[in-house]
Amino acid sequence: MQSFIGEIGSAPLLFGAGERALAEQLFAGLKAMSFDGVGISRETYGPGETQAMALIETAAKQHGLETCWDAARNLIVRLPGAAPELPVAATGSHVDSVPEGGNYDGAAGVIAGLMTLIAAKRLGGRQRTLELYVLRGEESAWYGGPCYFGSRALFGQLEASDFASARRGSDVTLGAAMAACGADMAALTAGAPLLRPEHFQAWIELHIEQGPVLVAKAKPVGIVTGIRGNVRHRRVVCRGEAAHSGAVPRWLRHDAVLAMAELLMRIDEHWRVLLEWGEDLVVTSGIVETNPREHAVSRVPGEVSFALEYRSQDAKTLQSFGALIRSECDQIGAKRGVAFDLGPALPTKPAKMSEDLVERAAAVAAAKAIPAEIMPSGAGHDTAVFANAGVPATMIFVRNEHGSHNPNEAMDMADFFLGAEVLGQTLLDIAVQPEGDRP
Amino acid sequence: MTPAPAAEAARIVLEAGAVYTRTSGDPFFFSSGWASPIFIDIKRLIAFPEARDRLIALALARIEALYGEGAFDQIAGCELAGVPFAAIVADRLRLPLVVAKKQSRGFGRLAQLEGAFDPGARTLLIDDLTTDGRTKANFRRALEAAEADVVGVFVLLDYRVFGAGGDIGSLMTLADILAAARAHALLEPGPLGVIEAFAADAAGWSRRNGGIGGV
Ligand SMILES: [Zn+2]
Repeated sequence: MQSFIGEIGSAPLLFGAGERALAEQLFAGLKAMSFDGVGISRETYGPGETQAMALIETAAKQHGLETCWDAARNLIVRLPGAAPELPVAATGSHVDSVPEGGNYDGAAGVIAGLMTLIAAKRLGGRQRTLELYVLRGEESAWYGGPCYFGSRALFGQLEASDFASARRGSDVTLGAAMAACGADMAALTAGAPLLRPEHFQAWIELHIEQGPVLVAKAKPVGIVTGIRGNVRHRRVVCRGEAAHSGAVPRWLRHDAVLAMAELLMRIDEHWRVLLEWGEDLVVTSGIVETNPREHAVSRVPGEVSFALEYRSQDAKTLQSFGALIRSECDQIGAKRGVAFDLGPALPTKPAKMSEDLVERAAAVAAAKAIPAEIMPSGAGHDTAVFANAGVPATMIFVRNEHGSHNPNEAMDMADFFLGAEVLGQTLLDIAVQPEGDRP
Repeated sequence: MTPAPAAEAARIVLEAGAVYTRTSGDPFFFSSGWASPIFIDIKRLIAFPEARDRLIALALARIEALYGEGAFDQIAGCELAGVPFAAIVADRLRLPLVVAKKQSRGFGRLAQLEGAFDPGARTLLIDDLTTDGRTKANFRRALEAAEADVVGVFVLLDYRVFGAGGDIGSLMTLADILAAARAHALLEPGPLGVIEAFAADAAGWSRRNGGIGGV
């Protein structure tokens, strides 16, 4: 499978057999140390995460790269350029995983980044420093909340509520777990940024795709134009009036479930039309509950609660869609004699990727004849934190068969090396150029 | 002698089999909650080209009598039953057609409409019928939100027994239907008596028969 790689592109390939063998070896090493019997478990600010980071650090040092740990105990691997005063070309990803997760989510980006620095050292000729960030705490599975703890710490965005959040199934706080890993809690709680956005010329993260697009399009690599933000209503309550299901005629009912159903169908219809108009939007109602203490087959439901989440790359779409939902709630409420209580809306901002970086990565893929899909990211990533902090950023996706957050992630190593080529070459091209404004 | 337009229209509707009665047992319930012993299915007329053609001709004459000649820049039809009639009227008058939907889809000026028009377009909104006029307000709002100048709202049939429907123009009323039914013996005398009693006090009749008693 790998033998054809050297033949498809007209531009020379960056990675040699040594870097490829190292990648295989690191994936195998990570898998061996993190297998939990079902899948891979590397807990946020836990020993498994630290152990995985140490494996990367050892390999980096063996290849003559500099390493250091920041106040949040993120690992930074560095290859200084001839002009270290220039903004750096950086990459990175996370090494934590969900419980019983897969080996490639996060780790693929770290290993591709390490390959890039090693190849760059071998090739020489760089002006800018190259940096690899091995980030902690990206997954929300362990401590909930907005997560992205490692990257948010870089920009001084951690808050008291983050440190206080409790680990799933226990009362250990994130703050305690961070301290146990050796984080500088005084510096972090003070909230001062560890880095300024101007430190970076560009940030590019490689990650397995967590959706089905690349498999469907039969392309090994994706280049990301934006990362969807979202608005979450954890519990919308629709209140009508409970009544006997046989005795009360239709026009006298205030059926909470039918009102919710109408709302969801209207939302679905708006969604369909907005997609036709080219808006980026996904909508999900993943939890629906009538109250078991009062619901019954023969009772017109007086109350139902449900979750509502919608995501878009466009902050304006999120805002307009929110207004639309509120107006539909009012209309249906008036028509059916029910009241919708949306509760708090928890927003995560969408992140727009740098058009310049997307173009550069697309040009690299074209020059190497690597089929690449220009696409949005449905899932959230550390890169959104970088982009929203003002760092020009994009992501490289690698095709992956079975989604992520499960042990059946199926990334083909041939696809991984193609994605790594696009990542590494794009970063290297930026590193050799001392000129130019930040994209 | 040529019959009055309303009487002729009522007879067309009766002869098309579009008038249904339930004068014993459970009445009809309109979606607005009114109970009624009579249900007039105007949209059934689209199936009869001759009758439809005459009905539209009568409607066009009535529209001109109500609003004058050249009073509109466009015709709007209410989803769903208003649309075929509005389309034929727009076609006869060589005017643009716009469709007003029950619900908006997406956002933007025309989210609840289909078609295209400039702000200020003088608009006649057409539907097949009205009971108490409440649903017309939704369509009117959609047009006005898109800056149409809604000059008039016109229906083929106005029950005109459920209270004020605002200033809605109509070709015929329930009274015209009942008069035509009696004149041409198109409904049985027994049921007709029940319906005439209903027409005299629709709110009371509705309330006594399990429907709403007012809006
Ligand atoms: Zn990830």
